Amino acid sequence: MNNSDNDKTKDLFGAAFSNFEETPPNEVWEGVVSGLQRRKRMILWRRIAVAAYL
Amino acid sequence: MEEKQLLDGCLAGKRSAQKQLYERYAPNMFGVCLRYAAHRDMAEDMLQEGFIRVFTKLDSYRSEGSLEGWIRRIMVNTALEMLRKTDVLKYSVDIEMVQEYDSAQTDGFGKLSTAELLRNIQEMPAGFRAVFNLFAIEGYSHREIADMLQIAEGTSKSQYARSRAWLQKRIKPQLE
Repeated sequence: MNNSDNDKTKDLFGAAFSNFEETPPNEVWEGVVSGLQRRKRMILWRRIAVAAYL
Repeated sequence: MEEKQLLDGCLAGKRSAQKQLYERYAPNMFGVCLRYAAHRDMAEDMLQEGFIRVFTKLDSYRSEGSLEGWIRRIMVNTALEMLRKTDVLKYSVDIEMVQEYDSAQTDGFGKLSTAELLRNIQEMPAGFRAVFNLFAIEGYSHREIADMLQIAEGTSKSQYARSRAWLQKRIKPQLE
């Protein structure tokens, strides 16, 4: 494989996907929110546990 | 809303700012995830986990590069990590599947639509798909890919050459 072959593939696929977008379903955002809430709860419980045992 | 305001809102934990940032970048990042995933459900999981990381790590963003580039790196790393967890990043493709590479055949790639190219990328063996995406589309060097995937630089090069040969074999009948 030489460099010009590499460049051809990179040019083609780079151009094809440079502005490639697709709208994700709403469930993904809902999952992000619930994931953030879960992490927040975990941090809170960890703080409570540390406070309780110190 | 300006990017700075949006960032400040997100750092303050405001859900409305987080949603705006998500809506601004999610379509583009979903496009990234779709290239790394074998199917749509997996890409949705990558996107969801990636954005959770974006919001929890946002305080480490230093505004040195573009925000989009920073988010994209998190998405790519999340995708690779998820592929590693599901144990599909093994380079175990049968050598028989890989034919000799013929550079003249790659000209035909340009005749396919983006959707058709995406479908072919998604159907690649996971190890090929990761290296192909990182090198041909994301623009990482083989040295960088070697570090990211914890493989030898030569392995990255050979996986890339094989991925092109694999694509060539797949795409040829679609052009006839």
